[in-house]
Amino acid sequence: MVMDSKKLLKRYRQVRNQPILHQDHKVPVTRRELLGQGFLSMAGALVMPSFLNCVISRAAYGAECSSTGMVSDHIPYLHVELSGGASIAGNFVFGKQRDGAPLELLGPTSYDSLGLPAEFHPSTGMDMSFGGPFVPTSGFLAGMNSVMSPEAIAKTVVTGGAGVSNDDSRGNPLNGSNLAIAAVGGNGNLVQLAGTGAALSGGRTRELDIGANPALSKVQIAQSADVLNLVDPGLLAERLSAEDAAKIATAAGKLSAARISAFNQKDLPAQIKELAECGYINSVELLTKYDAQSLSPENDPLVTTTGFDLTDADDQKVASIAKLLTDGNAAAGTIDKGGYDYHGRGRATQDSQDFAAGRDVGLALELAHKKGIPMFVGVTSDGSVSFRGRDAASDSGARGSYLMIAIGATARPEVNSFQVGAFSDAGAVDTAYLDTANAPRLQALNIVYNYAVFSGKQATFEEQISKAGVNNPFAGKDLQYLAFKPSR
Amino acid sequence: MLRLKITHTWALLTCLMASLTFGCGDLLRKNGSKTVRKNGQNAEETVNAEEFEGKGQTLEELEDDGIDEVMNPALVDTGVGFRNFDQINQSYSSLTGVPSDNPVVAQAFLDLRGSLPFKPTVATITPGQVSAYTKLAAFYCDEAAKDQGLRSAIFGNLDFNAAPAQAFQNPAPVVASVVNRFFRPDYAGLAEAAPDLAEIESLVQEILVGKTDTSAVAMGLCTAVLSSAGVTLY
Repeated sequence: MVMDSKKLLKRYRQVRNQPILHQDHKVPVTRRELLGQGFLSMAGALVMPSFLNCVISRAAYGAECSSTGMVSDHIPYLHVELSGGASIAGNFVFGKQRDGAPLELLGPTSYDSLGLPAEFHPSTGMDMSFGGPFVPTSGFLAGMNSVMSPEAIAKTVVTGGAGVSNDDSRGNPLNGSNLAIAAVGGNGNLVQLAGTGAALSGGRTRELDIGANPALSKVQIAQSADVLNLVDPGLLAERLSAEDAAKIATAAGKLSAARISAFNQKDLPAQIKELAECGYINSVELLTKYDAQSLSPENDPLVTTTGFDLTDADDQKVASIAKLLTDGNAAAGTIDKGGYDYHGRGRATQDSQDFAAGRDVGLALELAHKKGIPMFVGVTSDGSVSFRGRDAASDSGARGSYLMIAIGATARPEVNSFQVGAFSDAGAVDTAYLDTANAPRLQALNIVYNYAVFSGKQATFEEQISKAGVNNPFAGKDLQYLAFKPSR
Repeated sequence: MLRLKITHTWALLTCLMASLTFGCGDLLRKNGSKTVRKNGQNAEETVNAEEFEGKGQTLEELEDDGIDEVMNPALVDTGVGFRNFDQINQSYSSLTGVPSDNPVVAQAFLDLRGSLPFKPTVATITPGQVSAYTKLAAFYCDEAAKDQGLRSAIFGNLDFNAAPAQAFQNPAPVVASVVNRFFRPDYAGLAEAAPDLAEIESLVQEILVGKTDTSAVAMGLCTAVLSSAGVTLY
């Protein structure tokens, strides 16, 4: 079955803001429930610099803000959160093999509950164009294919991880973007983390507690203009000058430093005082270091010749994040997409949602390809679904999984295997196999571990988690937990 | 949202009342962040779906930033907080005397609202949020500096008809007037204020070079003070 990209994209845009009301769910009242059930699309603002680790030397103010500033060999990390419990295992083929063995498909009826009844059983065919095995009718695959050039596809590899997570819950600590930045010593020229959500992770999912760092510099962006606003002095430049705007911000920072230091330790601990001061110090940097036009996706021919629709709000966010990452202006990014609690809404809706997710990933990868840089992408979802026939019927976190995708600078990255963990013939995650199977926290850590190894930074990863009091649970178990080989 | 509106209205009323006797910076400091945070959390749990459908920006702002999960709560619940978007808008309005429904500042607030803090948590303040404080302050200060009726309350006897170099030949009185208005009525007379006064006077001397518009320089001076932590932090 050939997927019609235009129809899928059109349907996605029609339904993305429509709420999903399930009879077996309570009426959504909290933000997380609203997002998961599609009351909200990827509506969050991309994160603005929370330069808690900041750029300017604080010598003038007597404090220490750590620097952003690009690390030359940094590979950007993108995390895509699919809120609501997407059927990743209905798109990417998981088998029951262990210890890095070749793909061993599940039994004849085992894929039924993953939306792949007999005529769609992977034994009838798989798409290996991205290295790992995709279901040929995958919406996610169709989305990637719709925007990626053959050259970019040839440099990209997709691997999967099997792991149970809780359904429809932002409480799954599945996003390790903070640790990913630290684990490779990553920085961005402008910010460290860019995301569509307000959580520490830059999305809506709970940040992995290992390496979580509120002091990261972040930018939250709802539209491409948010990046420009970040560095635009506004009225001050109009009435005075850009240089004067920086002087005024500097003076405000110095006045603030005095005021902040006046709070006693009980009211404002020293650690927090430094963070507050960093906010002021680095606001000056925003006004002085960057040319707004150079940050605009609309002004970048490599963006405008990629498949972004810059008139679309979601595409603006993706383009902004992808550009920040591929220009070295952010070290990591998170895209938070809503509407993946799609059970009961029919196959067409699921396909269009999966298509949109794959398209976003594909757009970022295609831009990386055009700019000649590698990129690593993690895709997670809170829970998953089980199927009756081809239609997603109900929540089923037991069928959860995640994707780890990478594009090389010049060639497809090498992998040890295409799968971490395993599914069982029951059509669900084999929870008797790996520690990651039933632990979202370890799934996030596994994604970051693979990213760090791919980046050639395994030692830094181990050093960073050691600081958090954690020994590497994957050490010496490469066959089980390490899909990627070092790229350098 | 109702709770937020109540908070916003309360901030305005208390600030107006307090401005009769002492600075709003001090007053709003007493209306601590805990109330706002509690309101935000309650809104997260009780918000009506219809009210927010299609208004993702608002809901995103209500989102828990997750900081409580990774930091010692003692460091997060400091009892000190940055003013949120509505609070800072009303504070700027009260302190400058420019109504928040003035078309210029109202449009600026709309444009900048999403960039201003929602939560008061000091540890998560971002340079982008600080920058938004500064940009919004500039609009309030500009409107105030251009308004014949508001000028004197903020800038004292500053001669707006004189060239900047002449008007600010002795900047001490106007600087004192601004900090007394925005920080507290007697602030300029305190020994601890001396470094601040020197910093602001130095700023004025720097930004007036080559300028012909005294109100623009006054706006810059006003913005530096209004956007500083003396106003934004409570």
